[in-house]
Order: sequence, then C-alpha cells, then structure tokens
Amino acid sequence: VSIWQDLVTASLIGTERTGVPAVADPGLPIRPEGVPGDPVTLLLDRAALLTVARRGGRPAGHAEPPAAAEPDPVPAASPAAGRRLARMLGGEHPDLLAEWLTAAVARDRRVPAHLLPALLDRARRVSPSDPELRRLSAEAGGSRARWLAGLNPAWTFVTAYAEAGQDAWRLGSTSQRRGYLTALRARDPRAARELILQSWEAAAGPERVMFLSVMANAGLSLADEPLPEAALDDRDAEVRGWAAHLLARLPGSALGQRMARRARDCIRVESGVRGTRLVVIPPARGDAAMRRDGVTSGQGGGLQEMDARAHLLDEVLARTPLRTWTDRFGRTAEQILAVPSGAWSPVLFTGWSRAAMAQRDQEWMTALINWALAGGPAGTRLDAETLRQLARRVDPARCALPTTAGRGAEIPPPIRDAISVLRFRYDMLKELEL
Amino acid sequence: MSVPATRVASVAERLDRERVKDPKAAARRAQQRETRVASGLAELDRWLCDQARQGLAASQQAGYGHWDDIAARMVDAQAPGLAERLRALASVPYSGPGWHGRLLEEYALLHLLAVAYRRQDELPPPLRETVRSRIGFSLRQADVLAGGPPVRDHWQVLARRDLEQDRIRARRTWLRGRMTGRDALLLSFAVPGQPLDDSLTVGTDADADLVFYPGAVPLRAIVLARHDDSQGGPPDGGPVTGLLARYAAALAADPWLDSWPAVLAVTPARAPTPVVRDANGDTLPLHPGAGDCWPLFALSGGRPATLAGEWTPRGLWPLTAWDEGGRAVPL
Repeated sequence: VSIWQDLVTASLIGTERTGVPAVADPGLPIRPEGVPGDPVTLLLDRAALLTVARRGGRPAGHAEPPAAAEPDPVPAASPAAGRRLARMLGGEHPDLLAEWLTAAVARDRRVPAHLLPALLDRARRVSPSDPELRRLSAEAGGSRARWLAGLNPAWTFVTAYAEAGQDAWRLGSTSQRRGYLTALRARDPRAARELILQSWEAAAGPERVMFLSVMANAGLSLADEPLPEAALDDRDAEVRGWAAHLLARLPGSALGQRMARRARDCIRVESGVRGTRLVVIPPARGDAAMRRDGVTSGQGGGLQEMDARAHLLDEVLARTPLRTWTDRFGRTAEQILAVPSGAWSPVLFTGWSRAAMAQRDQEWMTALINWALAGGPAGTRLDAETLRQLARRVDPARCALPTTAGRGAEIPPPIRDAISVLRFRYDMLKELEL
Repeated sequence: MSVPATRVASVAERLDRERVKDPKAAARRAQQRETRVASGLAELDRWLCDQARQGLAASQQAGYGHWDDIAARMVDAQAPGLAERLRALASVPYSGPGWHGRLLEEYALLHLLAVAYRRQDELPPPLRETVRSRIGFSLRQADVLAGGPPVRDHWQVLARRDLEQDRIRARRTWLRGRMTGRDALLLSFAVPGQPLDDSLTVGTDADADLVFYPGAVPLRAIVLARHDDSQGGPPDGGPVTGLLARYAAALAADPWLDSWPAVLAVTPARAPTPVVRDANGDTLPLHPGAGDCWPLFALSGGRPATLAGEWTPRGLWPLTAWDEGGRAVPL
C-alpha cells in the first residue's frame, strides 16, 4: 500500500489515536527544522506535499485503439439543419422530428454525428408500437449510428433495422420483422405485397395490423387493393379499421367509389338571387355498408340528431376521392372553397382536410390551409386540431403565409400556431437543401 | 465586427467608478480586512487540525451543515474564496469510492493556504497574489490593468463552461493565443434572470488585447479591447504527455491549480470507463461527473479528433470538439 494510503488511513483514524506515517522522498525533502511538533500539522503538511506531487506526477494510462466506424459516403446535413435538429431534440416541435429525418434521407443527408446520441435516446423512448422514428433514425444515422449501437446496448434497435435479413423475417422479434418488411416495401413494393399475402392467413390480428400499416406507409398503389378490400370483413375490428383507412387513401379504390356515390348528393352548387352557394344535405343515417367501409356512426355517443348527421358527413367526406368535387363542380379546390357554405363550412373544412391528408393531395391541402389562414368564412370557427394537422402535412413552400407582425394579439391562437409551424417547416426543409 | 472604441470606453468608465475617493479610509478598511482574514484563517487551520486529530471518518455522518458552518465563518471573515472551497466539500462524500482521500487532499490544500497566508511576506510577489486571490481578495481592475502590458493576439475561443454556485452563475471561457501560445481564462458572473456574457463564440478567433491578473501562473485575464473576430478553425491538439507536463509545471508554481486548459488530438475510448487516447497510446480518464460523453464518442467515430476541455485532478472534462468539417461542437 502506498504512502498516500497510509496518510489517508491515519487521517481517518485521527492523530489522537495513531501516528503519522513518514513521507519518503516524493521529490521534495521536508527540512527537519521545519517539522513542527504537533503531529496533526505534520500530517496535513505531508498530505499537502503528496497531494501536489501526486497530481503533478500522475502518469498517463494506456489503452488499445478503439474500433473505428466505417466511413459514411453520405454527407452530413448543413450546420443550420444540425442546429435546428438540436433544438428539436431539446423540445422545440418534437413532433416534426420524423419529417426532418424523412427529408434528410430523401435529400441524401445524414444526421450530424454529435447529435446521434440524443436522437437515438429519443427514438428509444418512443413506444415500440410506433417504430417509425426508430427506423428513420437508424436510416438517417448511417454507419455512425450502427457503430454507436455497438457501444451502447440501449441503441441496438439501430442494427435491428440495418441488418434485417431473411433471418430477421423468419426468426426475428416483431420489431425486426417489421424492420425487414418496411425496408423491403421501400425497395420493392410488389415483393413486400407478395410476402404479406403469403403470410396473411397464418398471421394474428396484431400482425395483420402491422402488415397493413407497412403497406400504407410506402409504395401504396391500386395493385394493393384486393387484400385490404377483403380485410374489411376481418374478425378483428382493428384490422378492419386499418383496411378501411388504407383504401380511403387510394382514390381509385372501390371503397373510394362507394364513398363518392354516398357523398355526391350531399353537396351541390346553387346559383340564385343571393349569388352562388354550396347547399349541404348530410346523409340521414349510417348503414351496415357504410360501417363496413370504416364510417363510424357517432350515434349512441349522446349526440343530438343534427350533430350525428354532421359527424356522418365528416366521415363520408374524409373517405371520398377529392376528384369527385373538382369534376362535379368544374372548379379547382380553391374555387370550391371560395363558394359560401354558411354554417356547414367547419364540417366541410374538417372532412375535406382529412381527405386531402389521407390522399396526400397537396393542391387541396394548400387551398384548405390558405382558406383557414385567411380567416376562413366569417363568423365560424374551424377545428383547431384539423388545422394543426394540416400545418404539419402541407408543403409549406406553397402556402400564402400572412404576416403576423404587429397584429399578434388579434390572430386566434390556432392560426398563430399553424403559421409558426409552417414557417418552422419551411426553414427546416430549406436548410436540408443546403 | 470591430468594437475597440466602445470596449475601451467601458473599461475606462469602470476605472472611474473604482477610483478611490478617500485614500486614508481605504487604507484603514484594507487593514481591518487583513486582520479579519488573518483571524479567519487561523480559525480555519485550527478547525482543519481538529478534523485530522479526531479523524475524518466522522465527516461522513456530519452532513452538509458540517462544512456550511465553517464556510459561513469564512464569509464573516471576508474570505469568500475559502468559503466557496469549503462549501464545495459537501459533495465529496458523494463522489464515489476514494472520497476519503479526496477530502484529505482538500483539507491539506486548505491548510497549505492558511500556512502560505501566514507567511505571505516571505513569498515571491506573484505567488503572494495567487494565495490572496485564492483566499478571496479581489483586485480592482485598475490594479490589474496597471499590473502588466496588454497582450494582443488572435485568441482562439476554445471552450466555455457554465457553473452555478449559490444562485450566482459563473461562465469560464478558455482562450489560447495563436501567436503567443498563451492560455487565458475569462470569468463572468450573472445573478438569476441576467444573461451571462455572450460576446465570445466558441470556435471563433478574437483579435483582442488581454490583460492578465498577476499570479504565479497568470491565467485569468480581462479583455481590454476587441479588434476583430474571424472564423478561426480547429486549434492544434497535442499529446497527453504534453498536457501532463504543462500541468505539472503549472502546479509547481501554483499548487492549488485544479483546472487547467487542455487541447488534445485524441480518440475517446471505453477502457471500460471513458478515456481519451492519443496517437502514442497514452490515455487520460474523462471526469466521472461528465457522464457518458456520448456526443464526443459519436463525433469521433473511433477516429482522432481535436478536443478542448479542462484537465482536473479527477479527469478531463470535455467541452468542445471539432468535427471532420473543422467546426467547433460544444459538448
């Protein structure tokens, strides 16, 4: 044991009960005449001497070089994009992280390396039932993220996505199977569909939901229609819901056409002495065929009859191909919205917004959000949640952002929030172009 | 950005405010303070000796009040530097295995400070200044400016670290001169609700005149004038042995020095606790309080990177690393 340890032990016991160990030459001799009589002073003097000697004389350790990450040919996102990502990981608009990552992958940019730990920690905390952020983080993190996953067991989900091969599909956990299927769907939508068709019969409800959600997330086309159309009669309510959701996103689907037939007569354009207006007659009641197509009745929820009919209209509009309206009225989305619709305008706004988002129709989304940002129809209140979602999905470069300068207090909070989200996304996507 | 004129003006203003109005009264106050500090240090040394006589094992049960009491008495004795050191001791029993040794180190260095103050007339003037500043005598800026000529250089803003103590936030900014190779430390303070000085950006170079506080190892400085800022670029990272040699030399002059600027070319590794490793295979531990340091690992990717931080007796506290693009990343 070292002299220092002897001194520490003596100090713990106290000089009342033990002697003071001598300090053998640590480089500086203590002159005998300088040694005071009190052992406690001696102890502290010697400890001071040794403390400084030990700090100054500390040797370096030695270690083998660590394994290095593979070089990543993908360039890092711009510094401005990195700073924004850091802010998002710090809590600013965290719901837009997935969009940042998706845009980075699409533009062939990777996450700046120093931000990976915070991103992977965040993706890890996300519930496994929503694995999209994990998959995107793994993809946008590149080889550096895989290297980090090798150092920290908390981040192994990264390699689950990166190394998902045939074995992952046959033997892997749910998240590994999902990772494999997602990657295959992105690469070859048809092969993924074939794989799903082969596995469908043997799969239980939760796995069927996973199949449908992977289908919905990428590469969706009319060729996918037969499976979800059949799944509208599945035993499992959640599977039925996902199937209907998926078909409603396919404007050419049979479900879309059934919806168009239901919706067509609910809205018409009338020109009269008071000018042109939209006349709205919501469906009277839901039936079994509508329920099969995913329409919820809203009845029994304590809704008044008129509210229930408005709800039904919203549900039908949300699943109706938007071309139904542009074809029928011979007007663009923007022109249709310009026609007064009176008290029905909030329902039309919500239903059409849901349809535009499901069908990823940028023209309608742009028209709807511009309509809302411009104040919408006078005297009505548009649904804040719908506006919130629109602001997160519409292409911000197409929006006509009104200036908020100097009139902050007059703007209703949902509109102010939407404008700030659109600005944020506009800058975010611009920075990722750099 | 060129701001010298306003900077000089503001320093001059501060000097005006500090100008002594009544030299006699000031001398009397200074003498009173010396007397109080001297008796405070004598009390502290008696207290330290009592601890070592009875055994430090008792400190473990004593709790925070143990050090708060003696710290409060040092505040009364107008020795705030000592009070701060003593209050910091309260965290030592929670600092992991070996804390008895760390407590003894701190007690021994406080004892050394008490002895050094008692014998300050025998010390060379720079070391005397170091002892007095560690106790908590602060110099008037007029005296700092009178003490030495300004040093003009392209100062690389290497790193900064914010600390909070007793609701006062302190910011340490480490600089290194590109031409002189000198290290400098700027301190700024802010009370809650007030922003800290943000005029220097890590990763940039500031062409500035600095004036150093006197001391055995002149490190702390103030900015007298700023001339220009430029983009900078990564500093030159050195090997581990170079840092240890520089620190040892500095310790020989100022034994109380416990944070020293480090600029290294190293690869972080886990061996199994986090260390940094240079091209020679020499390693230094990272400070346990700095945590996992994952951003540093991610940035390096297992390859050497330039790293700036504070070297302390417990390990290296990483503060800034430069990425492949040569950009400074605060850690």
